Order: sequence, then structure tokens, then C-alpha cells
Amino acid sequence: MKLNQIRIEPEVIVSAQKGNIADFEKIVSAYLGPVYNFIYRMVRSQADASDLAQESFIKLYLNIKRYDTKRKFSTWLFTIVQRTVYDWLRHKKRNREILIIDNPERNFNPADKQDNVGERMDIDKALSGMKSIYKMVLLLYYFEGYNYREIAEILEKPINTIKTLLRRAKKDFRYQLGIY
Amino acid sequence: MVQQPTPKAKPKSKKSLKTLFESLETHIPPIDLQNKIMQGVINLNQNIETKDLERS
Repeated sequence: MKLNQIRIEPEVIVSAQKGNIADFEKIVSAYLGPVYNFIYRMVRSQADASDLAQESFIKLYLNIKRYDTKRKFSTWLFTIVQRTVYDWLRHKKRNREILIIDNPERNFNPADKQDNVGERMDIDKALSGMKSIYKMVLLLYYFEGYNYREIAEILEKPINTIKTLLRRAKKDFRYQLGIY
Repeated sequence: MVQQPTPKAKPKSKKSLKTLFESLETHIPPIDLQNKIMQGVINLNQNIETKDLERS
């Protein structure tokens, strides 16, 4: 299920804000899959995706009292996730660490073998050659199903900037795929 | 003998980006990740409670 499609009862969030750990676990359980999946696509390593997902949920726990229930929860959560991923990418870039990229085929379900695995590998390869910001905007828009306004909120940028970023990201993605 | 024409290279997919992204598979988190997160939360909570007790 995509992050944008998950709905969690507001009472569960309010209870977690009051310190109820069992209800906080319900939030973790609901959002872990999409959060992990998104982070994995950004960093291309299972170990790093696990660490970053863990860090994101710890930050969520520490900040959940600040969540304004009038806002959409998944959008607010994703702001935490994107900041965590960006900080990590910046740190990695600064340290000039060599990226160890997992073999994309290793992560496929055997059931997937019969369909368009080659096409998926092309998409993964194209994404891995793109700037992080372009990759993030494309994934949020096409894979997670967020609209411009929500992406602007998540990435803390004006809507017009998001429109420009998405237009450039699409162009770059097509170029990387060879379908420009 | 008639020479068979050389098959043309298969053209690249012209699918929309939306369709392409819909075909992406889902990466499933490691089975113990939720437990690790919750253990981290519980440890953190205990540290906070201990510090609160020390202050009071």
C-alpha cells in the first residue's frame, strides 16, 4: 500500500501523543512498509534503509506531540523522513563515501520474475543516475501519489518550485531511460 | 534464395511515467525492523523517565 493511501484513526495518534506506546506501535506498523520502501529507493541499500527508517520513527516518537491534528499525518511524517534521508545523503557526500549499491534483482519477489523485471531494472537504474531532489519529487508524485501542494509541504518548498523540479525531473528521467 | 530482412531494434517503451512507476515493485522491510524500532522507543522512554526521576 502506498503511503498516501494509509489512514489511521485520529484517536490512535492522539493517544500516541499522550505517550501510549501500544498506539505508537500501531502507527509504526501502518507506515513502516511505505516509509522503508521510499527510503530504500532513495539510498539503494537495505542496511542503510533500515537504519534510516529506524531513525525516522525515533524522531517521530520524540516529536509526535508537536503534530497538529488538523494536518494530514502522512504528509507530516514524510517531512521527518525526507529530512532524515537528506541529512544522511549530505553527510555521505561530505565524507565522499563510496556507495555500495544493492543488486536490484536480489530484492525482487520470485513471482515478479514472469513480468516486466527488465523494465523495472531500467527504472531503478535511471533513478540511481538522477539528482536526489529529482528522484524524491518523482517518487513522491508518481509512486506515493502526492499532489503538488502535499509535496511542497513535505519538502518545505513553494508549489511553483515543486512544479519546476517535477518538470526537470521528468525530463532527466526520460533522458536516463532513453525515451526522451 | 531471398534474404530475410534484418529485424529492426525494438523501440523503447513509450509508456507514460505514471504507468512505469506503477510497475515498480515494493521493497519489504526486514522482518525484525518493527521490533528494533519499538525496542529503541522503549529504551528511549526509559532513559527519559530516569532523567525525569533524577531531576525531581
